[in-house]
Amino acid sequence: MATLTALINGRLLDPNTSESNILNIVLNEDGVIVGLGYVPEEDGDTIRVVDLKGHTIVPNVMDAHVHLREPGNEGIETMASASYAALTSGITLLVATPDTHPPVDTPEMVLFIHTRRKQTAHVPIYTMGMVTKGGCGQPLAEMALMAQEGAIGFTDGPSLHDTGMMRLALEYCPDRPMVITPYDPWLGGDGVIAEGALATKMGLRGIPQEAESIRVSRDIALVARFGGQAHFFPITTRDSVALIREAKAKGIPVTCGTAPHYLCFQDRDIEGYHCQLKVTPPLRKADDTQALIEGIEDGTIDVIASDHQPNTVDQKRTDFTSASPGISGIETLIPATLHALRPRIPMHRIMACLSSKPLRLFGLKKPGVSVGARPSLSVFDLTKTVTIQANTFHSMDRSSPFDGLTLTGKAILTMIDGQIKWTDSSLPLSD
Amino acid sequence: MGWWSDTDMPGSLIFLQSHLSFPVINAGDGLNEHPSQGLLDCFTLEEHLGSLEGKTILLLGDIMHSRVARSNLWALKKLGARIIVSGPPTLIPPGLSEWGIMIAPRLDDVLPLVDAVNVLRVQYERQEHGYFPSVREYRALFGLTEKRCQRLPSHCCILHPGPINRGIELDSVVADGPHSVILDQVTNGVAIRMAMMNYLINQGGAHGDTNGPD
Repeated sequence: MATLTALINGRLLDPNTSESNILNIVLNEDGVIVGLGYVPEEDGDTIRVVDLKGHTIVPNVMDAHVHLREPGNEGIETMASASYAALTSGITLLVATPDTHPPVDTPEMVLFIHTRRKQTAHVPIYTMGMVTKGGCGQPLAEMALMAQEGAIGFTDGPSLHDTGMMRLALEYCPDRPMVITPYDPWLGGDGVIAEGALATKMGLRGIPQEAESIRVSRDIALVARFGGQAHFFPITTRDSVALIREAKAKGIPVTCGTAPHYLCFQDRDIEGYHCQLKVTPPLRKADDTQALIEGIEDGTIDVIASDHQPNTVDQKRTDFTSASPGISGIETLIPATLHALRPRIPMHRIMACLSSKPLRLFGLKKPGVSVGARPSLSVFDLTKTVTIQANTFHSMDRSSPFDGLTLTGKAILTMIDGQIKWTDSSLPLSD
Repeated sequence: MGWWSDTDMPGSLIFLQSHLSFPVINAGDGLNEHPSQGLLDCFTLEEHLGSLEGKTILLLGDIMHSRVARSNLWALKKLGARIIVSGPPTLIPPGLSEWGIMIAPRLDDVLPLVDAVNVLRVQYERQEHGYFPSVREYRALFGLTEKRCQRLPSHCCILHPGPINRGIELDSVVADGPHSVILDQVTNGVAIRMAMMNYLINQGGAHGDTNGPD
């Protein structure tokens, strides 16, 4: 019976610095790090040694925006299935949106989510609460009580359409980020893809990119004047990046994030009416993708998260207009992000958008790799190529626009609170 | 396959095709295309004008929501015609200039230049969305009235896919007048659609969607 675990020859990537050192991590049976570097001889203690062969250790990798379907739509996704998808993808923490049925708009619902996740989930799940009751735009939900119960942020999805209510919400919101999907539904109309020649050619209704940037602009102005902490997610257009860059330069407390599909695909990929690429906000032009990558490079964009929105087979197996938007994104978050950003952006900067930056944004205090800590960490083989096979997903939505694409980078070990919870078959554990 | 809804299900043909082993003819997939209408319009135009190479064809009305327009545009472009569109600016979709299509904001300016006018139906349901303020104003600016027709060259043909809102986009006198080839469209439609079915049944395969302007 092993009482100590040693992860040896791992390369620890510190998201805050460009340094990465080969080291050994020794943990006791409670998952507490008792030593770094030195692996003790077997002197009565048995020791389980896992040779990481120089692969990369990243602490606290998280998916900071997932739509869970539990409670309410457990036939589409559950906390158990989504969190197992995360575990096997090297993701050690999920942030759930409150748009369930019923929605998370009371402290009791926050308590339910946390109770349920302890019963069923494979990785910690933190939840956001609704800004308004039922997400209906008014009146305000009990944000302070939800925060006391552990809600780490607030979101109604789209920014509140009533600008006066949006002001109140930003002023009232406790010291937590308000996550805003910037979208003007009147300008967006019945659109399903980006407005432009392609929409005209395909006979699909278009959404002008200003439907996003107008709301970014409005909400930056509200934050600057009335306070609050706005986090725009996802942003997808060049104009949004420019507006947020300018706001940050002025010291206005706004942050933003995007999702890997906006980095990997453009609207032209929809030609042929590919329902897997139907997402809201819609895929944009190559110029916008370029701007997003520049925004990640210069730090304007803080977070990359999957915006996981699982659907049933039938919700996607139909014509484009009728299809439900969203992709099953947890299991492609890491490889798709790496695919889009390497080698242009250094690995520690990419990983910061997936770990330390969203952690800080949501005020989550998680230990790193240091003696006395019970770490959550993942190990990635950053050179391994993987052909995405959606039918092997652990998410209940086993479909993906990345299906069949060959991407590089794969999780091989996931540790939660000092315990190894999953290893890839390529990494046999010695006992 | 066709859909009664004017807006739903563009591309539904491709979805259906992938599940069937026999030919599918697109009879209009939402806003996208209506290929047999495009073919019969081109056939009718050639009957009256000869080759369409270099001819100027005006599409008039709600281009945005018209699958007839989307089939005519791509077919006419392939046949070498010069295409002008005119209609309320709210009903002209973006990107047309990328295919060399000219947009005429003032109908009266271009009427003397055209070899044919394909008049599209005013779709009342659009009016509720506020794309234009009233039928009266539409008629005043874009209706092909008896008076406006005097500006057309004598050889100019007038087409309409039907059903016609008489007195709105097209005056009855014009619809039944010397420029009109609308009844020829109806006759040719039968022949074109018979030919399509004959071709597909004998050739096999599915040839419904021309898939754009290439």
